[in-house]
Amino acid sequence: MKHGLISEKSIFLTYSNVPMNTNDVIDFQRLQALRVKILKACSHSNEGHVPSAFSILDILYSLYILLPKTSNINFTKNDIFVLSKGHAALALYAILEEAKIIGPEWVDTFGDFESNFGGHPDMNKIPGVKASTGSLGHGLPITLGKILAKRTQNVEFRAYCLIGDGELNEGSIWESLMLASHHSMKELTVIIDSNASGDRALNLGSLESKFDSLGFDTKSIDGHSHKDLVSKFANFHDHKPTAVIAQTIKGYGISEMENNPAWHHAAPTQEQLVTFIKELI
Amino acid sequence: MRKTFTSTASKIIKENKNTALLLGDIGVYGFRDILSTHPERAFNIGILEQSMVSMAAGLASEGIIPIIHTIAPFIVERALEQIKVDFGYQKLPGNFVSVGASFDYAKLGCTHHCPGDVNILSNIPKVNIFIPGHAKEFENQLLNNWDSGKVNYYRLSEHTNSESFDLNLGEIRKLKKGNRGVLIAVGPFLKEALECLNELDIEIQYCNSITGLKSMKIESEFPGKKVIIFEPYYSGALLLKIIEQVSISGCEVMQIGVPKEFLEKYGTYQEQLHYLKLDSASIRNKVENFLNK
Repeated sequence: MKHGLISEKSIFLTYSNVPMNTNDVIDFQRLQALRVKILKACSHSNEGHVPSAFSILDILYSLYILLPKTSNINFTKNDIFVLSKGHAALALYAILEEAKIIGPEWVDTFGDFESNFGGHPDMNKIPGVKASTGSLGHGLPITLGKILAKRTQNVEFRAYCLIGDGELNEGSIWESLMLASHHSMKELTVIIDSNASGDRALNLGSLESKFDSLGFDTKSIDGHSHKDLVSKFANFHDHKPTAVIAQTIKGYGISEMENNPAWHHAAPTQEQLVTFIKELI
Repeated sequence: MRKTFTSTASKIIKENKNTALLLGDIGVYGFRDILSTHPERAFNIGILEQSMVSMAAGLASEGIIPIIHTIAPFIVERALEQIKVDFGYQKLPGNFVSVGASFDYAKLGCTHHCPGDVNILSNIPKVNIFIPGHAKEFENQLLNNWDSGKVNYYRLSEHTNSESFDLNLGEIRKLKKGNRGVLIAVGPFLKEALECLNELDIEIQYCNSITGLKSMKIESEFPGKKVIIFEPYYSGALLLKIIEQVSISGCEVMQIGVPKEFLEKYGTYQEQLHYLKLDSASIRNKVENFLNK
């Protein structure tokens, strides 16, 4: 276990053992239902990166569903979200449906020949998708360009870009972090899905110190805590870009998948699907 | 051509609020005025071409049409995937303006050469490639196409023809009649062709762009059934476009372009042409041998 803040099981037990208020219970049930949909979509097409989707689902739920309840953030208007780690698309589709930006058809058509919903999101096919990502290292600089464009339009906006810790291997990410700092992109929040999946290739050490030194207002939080996520997404610095290092568990919610690299790009069999759904609901 | 680029791009930025200029720390002094007067849309991004191209796509996705500029290999080869995915796949408009061409920076060596750019970019669907042979041609091309909604690549060269021609995108124009064969010269290589072939009984045609679609305007009669394609980069792109549209059945074809080898010499552009057998005398020799075969 490489996360500094939490242990694998303690996060999952947060849901099952710690008393929650009514809203927490509703959110928990909604998220479990979304996890079931993601599993069904993956099973339907025998394709998808389920653990990556489960790693970021709480982040996206906090951003799209919870944050707008307590702020004026609205991703159907001026605010921007770019999923730079496009292989986690299943989570984005689930949340876009939950936010009523798309319908439920993604579950039964995912990966089909004529489907709009592939393994990576296509901005020309899916409402609410702001960039066609998949090749890592593109989404963040695209977000920066969007910020420069929005600045010329004199509108208030926030821009959020979710990158993976493995994606931090890409040189273009570091280029873009320097650019965001240089251009004082206070409108930007970079969310790092820090699930340690990149460590087997390249251990980056302390992300906090790196983002700090690049001029970001940096916070490291429990990436499955809605309270922490919403709080950090709602607050930003007056001249620095913000970095939220979300400590997450890859495959979060299904014990067999959690931090198990065998599941990175694997689809459940029908038997496994039944087992996993039983674990969720 | 660089001066024309500076003045034309600056004019476009000044007059159109839906435009932006992104420099890869190249041409900064020339653009100092527009960088100073329009800091919200004119940027010296720095020496980080991959991010520069993706940022340009981000601008384009929000309705700001970018003009992106640096030396040819750094934009085409280093940031190729960003051009392919962020512009091509996402169907976003952008204008890429390079300098250096195949080996304008003769003294700087292979790292600054880019004879592969045209063929590489022609593999990205629907990219329009402009190879102006004269500053005036480039000015017209940029002014007429910057807001075409397409991905446009303008390949600037230090070496130009003595006369400009106002060609449409994808047009190949007959400049000289002849009976023994036809030579199609591309961009600044027209100068070499006219210098050495004027006295030969050969038709000369000229082309300064390659369309991203099947829409080259080609005269399908090939006198003498001998076709020579003369390109200032690695051969191939124009022939592929021609055979997409017209039959060259029964014709013999000779392609003359920059040889596919690393040019590990320095010196001047003219010395490089001579070394590569692309100088006037060598071209005449090759063409005569081909016609007499």
